[in-house]
Amino acid sequence: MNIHYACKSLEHRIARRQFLGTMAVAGAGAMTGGLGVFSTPAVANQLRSDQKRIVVFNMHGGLSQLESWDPKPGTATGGPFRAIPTSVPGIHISELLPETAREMHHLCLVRGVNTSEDDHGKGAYMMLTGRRQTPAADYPQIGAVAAKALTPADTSLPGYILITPGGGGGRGADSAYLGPKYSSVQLGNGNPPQNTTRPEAMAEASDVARQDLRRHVNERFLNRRRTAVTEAFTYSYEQAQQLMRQRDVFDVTKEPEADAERYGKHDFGRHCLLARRLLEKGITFVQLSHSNYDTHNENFNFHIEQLAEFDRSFSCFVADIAARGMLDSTLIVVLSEFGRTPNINQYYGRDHWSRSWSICMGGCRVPRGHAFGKTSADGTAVEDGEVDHGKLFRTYLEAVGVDSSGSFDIAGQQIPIADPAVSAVPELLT
Amino acid sequence: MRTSATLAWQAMLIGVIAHATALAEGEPLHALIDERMAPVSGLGPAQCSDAEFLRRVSLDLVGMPPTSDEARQFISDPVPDKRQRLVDRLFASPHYARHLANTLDLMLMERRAGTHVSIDDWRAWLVKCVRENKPWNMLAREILQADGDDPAERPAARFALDRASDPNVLTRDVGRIFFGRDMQCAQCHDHPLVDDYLQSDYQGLLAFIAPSYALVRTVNGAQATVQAERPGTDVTFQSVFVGTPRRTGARAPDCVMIDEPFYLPGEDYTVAPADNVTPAPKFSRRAKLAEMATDGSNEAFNRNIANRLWAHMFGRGLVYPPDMQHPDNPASDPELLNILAERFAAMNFDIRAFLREIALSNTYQRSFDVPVGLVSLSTQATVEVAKFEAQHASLEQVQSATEEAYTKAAETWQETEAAMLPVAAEFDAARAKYTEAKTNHDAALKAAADATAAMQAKQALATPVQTAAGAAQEAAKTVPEDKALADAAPKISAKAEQLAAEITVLAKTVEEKTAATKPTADALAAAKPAVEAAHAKVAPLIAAVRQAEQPMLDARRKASADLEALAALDRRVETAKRIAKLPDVNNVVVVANQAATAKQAELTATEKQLAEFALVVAEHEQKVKTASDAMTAVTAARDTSRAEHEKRTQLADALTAAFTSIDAARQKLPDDPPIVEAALKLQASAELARTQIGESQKKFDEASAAYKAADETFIAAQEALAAALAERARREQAIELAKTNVSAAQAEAAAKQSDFEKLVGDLTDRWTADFTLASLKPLTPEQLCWTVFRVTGVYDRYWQAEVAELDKAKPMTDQQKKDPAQVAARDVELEQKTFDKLKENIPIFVTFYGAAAGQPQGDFFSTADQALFAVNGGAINSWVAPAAGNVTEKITKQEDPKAAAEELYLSVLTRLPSDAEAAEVVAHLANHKDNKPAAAQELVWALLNSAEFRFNH
Repeated sequence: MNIHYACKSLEHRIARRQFLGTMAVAGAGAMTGGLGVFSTPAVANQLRSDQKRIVVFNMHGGLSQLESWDPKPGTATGGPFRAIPTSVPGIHISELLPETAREMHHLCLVRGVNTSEDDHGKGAYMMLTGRRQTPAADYPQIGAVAAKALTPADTSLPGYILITPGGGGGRGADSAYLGPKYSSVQLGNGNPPQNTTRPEAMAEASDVARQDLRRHVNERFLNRRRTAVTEAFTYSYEQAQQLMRQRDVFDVTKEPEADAERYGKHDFGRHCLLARRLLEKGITFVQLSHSNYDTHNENFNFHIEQLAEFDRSFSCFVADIAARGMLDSTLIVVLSEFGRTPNINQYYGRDHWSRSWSICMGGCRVPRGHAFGKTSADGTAVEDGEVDHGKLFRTYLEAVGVDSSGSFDIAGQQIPIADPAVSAVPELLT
Repeated sequence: MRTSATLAWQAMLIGVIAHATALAEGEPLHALIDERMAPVSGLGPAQCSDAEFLRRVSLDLVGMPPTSDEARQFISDPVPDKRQRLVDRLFASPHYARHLANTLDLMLMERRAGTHVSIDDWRAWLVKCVRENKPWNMLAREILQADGDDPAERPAARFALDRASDPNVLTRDVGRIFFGRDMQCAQCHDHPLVDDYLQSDYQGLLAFIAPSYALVRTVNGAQATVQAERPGTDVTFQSVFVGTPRRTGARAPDCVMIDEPFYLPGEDYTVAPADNVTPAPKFSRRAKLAEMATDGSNEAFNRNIANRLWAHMFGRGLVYPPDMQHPDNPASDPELLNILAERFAAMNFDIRAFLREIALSNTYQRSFDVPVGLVSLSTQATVEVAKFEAQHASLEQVQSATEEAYTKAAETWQETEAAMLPVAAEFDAARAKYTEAKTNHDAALKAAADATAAMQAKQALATPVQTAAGAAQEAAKTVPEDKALADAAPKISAKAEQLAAEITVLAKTVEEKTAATKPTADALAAAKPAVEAAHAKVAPLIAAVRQAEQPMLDARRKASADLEALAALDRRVETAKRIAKLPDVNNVVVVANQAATAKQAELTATEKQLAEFALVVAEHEQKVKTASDAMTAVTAARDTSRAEHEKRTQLADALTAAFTSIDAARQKLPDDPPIVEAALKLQASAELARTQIGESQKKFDEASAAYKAADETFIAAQEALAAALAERARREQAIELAKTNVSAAQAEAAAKQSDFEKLVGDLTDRWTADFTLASLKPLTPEQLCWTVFRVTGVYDRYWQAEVAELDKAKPMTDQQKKDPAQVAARDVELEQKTFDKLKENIPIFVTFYGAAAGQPQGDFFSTADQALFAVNGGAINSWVAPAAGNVTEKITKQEDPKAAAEELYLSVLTRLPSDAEAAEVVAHLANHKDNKPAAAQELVWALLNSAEFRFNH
């Protein structure tokens, strides 16, 4: 596949060379105006505005805040890239995200994240569950929580979709005590869920015949004894049928070719377009990931390439969600397990850093075109608006109208939805 | 006083006196179970059929149903004790060990990853233990105290090692899995929801476990993590809510804090920590816990396993969930659970014997059908409600007294503990000081030893040099002319002197370092009596705490027992109340149904009235028609007469006019005869015409009168018809109203019926929870796997292949074939080989039907991806596709469709089809005779995907 990376341009190479040689300071770039570049017929009318959705972009490996949301050009830690103005006066982000900069009026930056956890697995766990990992307890991930709290009871579609970079799909083990019902349904490399097509060797008539027989045989047994478990069992087959009928929901090739072009003809572009489709079709929670930002070596080269891909697809996604009127009902979160060190190591890399990094949010109750929190001039410490994984987790939930101080009733036990010891961040909620 | 009152009430509660004596004597456990499990309110639950029992007990004991041949044989077997024989046959099967080991594996490891111990080794070890029928307490003891050092016993250490040896994870899971108490929430404070789970319980158990830790050792060149242990100390803790400092040594559930021998730090190991050595403390808390849990006297341990084995057979523990044993979550019958626990301990924790008793009980053999004729139970239930409530009231009084006694004892205990705390702190300080002195002294000793070693090394070097120097000097003297020798001798001497000087320095260091050990030795010597004195001071206080703890524990046990009895009684009262309510709720249904019937009757009557009235309307319509016809006739007559009359009048008028004109002419010509004659004639004609007018006038008048009369009749008829139609409309409206009334009444009746059904549903759930009815138990992923293989014929094909192979490789002699032990050993071998061939399929089922690793595996869930796997997945579809000797092929090849139906049902559902079911199969095969294999496959698949297959019932 021949991907056109805008960022492999000469300019960037020069910038990098300059940086490597002289730590040159880059000037501010030009700002291109114009909002809502994309206009697509509003599908929003079809959506139920009261059903909230969440999409999480998981930047695997640890996105550098300095090359994205919180650039520090001209400082010893700032790296080679410039900061550019965005569609929101006063907010600047890295020049590696020019398209996203145009959508900043929809988004909200959180620049004072301090999670104090530099381990990949533990950091990811904290960011996705809102709690620190303890060996004695396991907590459900945000997708499972959203699936349970937000999915309408009458839908046959799964509530929690995880678009994985590869793999065959299946059910994730990410719902802890909420049980497998709320586990992720994984779409391996964006393909529809497993086993949703009739076996090739089976004729349709034969399939219909066996299903009729099954219902008949099943019903006869249920006439003797009908319980909650038999109902759940019987319903699972109906749900399977409905899912097969709605298989198109997961088929990104049903989207217009022009959109596929716009989003970028690479896996991540396709996954973003699929995420848009899924949310439009009423899926409650979609998580997709972009790999890999664990740039201990050549941080700057990696970010040039990775973020170019990300910028294009993500900005299309944000613009489309806004243009379709879905922003008020869709929470967008771009997170990582942590950020990267302000210090640049000898391999031009940045290492794991969790004391002062950033995430990006948007939609629902999150203020539009806002930057909350501040780090010091060299980016090594949070100076204002410090938040952590627990507060953010509660903020996500509050943003979509879930009372984050509530509890789930799990077999008669009341288990708090989120860490009761922290609260949501009021500044991130309108 | 309180004690005897409690006992008396508990005895009453049970309704059966002196169980303890029955217990002690030889009454078989299954009989005791049935005695305890006599259902309330005189309900006589049905026993399950032979076929149901066969499937149920096979799935429970060997994890898969029988073959169709075995099923056919068992169902038709006339022997009266065939169920017992079947149970014994199943226990003798090699599949029993496989299945029970799987149950134990799920219970102990909950599908955790095998990080330090291979899962295959662990499972093989469990299978071996079950085959040997190792008693549960021995198995548990091995698991609880395992260190994983000995490769042969290493699997037992998996429980701890694959929980990363984390003390809090282990405390939680040992509490849950071995004692039935999930005290996780009591780690940082008393449990917020369960009054009975105290932080001191958690910390006391943690104190047993915390000294153990993961240690990486190199054994035979490979690294292996073992569960090492250091000497334990007391744990101090504090609730995050209440700031009172607390302290505990090791305390097993329901046991007094252990009395631990005191060793000085450094003297507390039998094997001291060293490189690549698994250290061993003189007193192993881990071993102590293992012993205290498993010596047969620990009620919590015994109750837990009895409950879990019960759940293995019934799909649900007497206490549910099994790791929430506490008074507020009572056993459905606390007394039975106590009996089971005591009996299981008394039978030496023999799992096989215990399961056998359960399998033979009538309670286990109950049907899952909802009983009929429930309303008639209410009389007895009403009596029972009154009885239970009276018992409840009395027990409540007793309970509040035992609760108070417990509170008091707990206060005393905690006061004693509080008094101990400052002294214990002194002891801790002295101990710390001693440890420091010991560390210092050890360091000084080491420094002295190191110096001595350095000096000795130097001496070892110097001695030959000195010898050489002497020899060189001697040689130089002897051969003075040798220049080389003369040059060398002083050099060697110099070297020897230098070494001697160095040794002197080192000797001085040795002296210094040795001298330095004196003050550290003195300090240690001084610290020793201090720590010993501090221990001597705190020991009696700790003993006092332990002494105060015993009455507290006794009081707590009583209070808990009373509370549990109360809670269990509550449940019974609620069940009995619901039964008592049945007639009322049913009456409401009856009344509502009657009302609906009455409304229906009203509707029918109204409809009848309408139908009847159709005649009246028709009559009126006829009358209108007749009157209308009459009208037509009289109208015509009248018109005719009127025309005639008008004609005549015109004629008369014309004649008169003619006469008048001729008469005028006559008067002018009076004598003109023709005129006169004409005038006369005309006059006569006119007069005649006048006369005739009179006649026509009369006729016309008559016709008009007739018309009027007819018109009146017609109007009257029309009015009458209108009235009739209005009446009909009224009656039609009445029908609409009646219909509305019927719908309303029927809806009301349906609502009331639904209320009744809800009540019955609620009762059914309660009866399932208290084992009055058999429950539907979802097959575990492993059971599903083996059951699919068994019913489709896959399993037997693999088995037969192994038989053929073994018969070829290791043929058995005829004599061997007659030896049951040899045959059994052969079966074990065959089972192992078949298992090894097919085991790779288990993960397919676990992926879809198993809960996540580390989560409890007993909770049922049903998801679309499971159904999609069953509907479209390659695995199931390939196993049900016609293939060598499988069930689908058998059905396809069977020419007699009725026999095919029988084979289908016996294979897949372990029962014969009903006539209707057989007819359906016959019809389905006949309808698709052009593609019989596909039709057979559809049938097999349909049965395989029914609730009847998915659940054990």
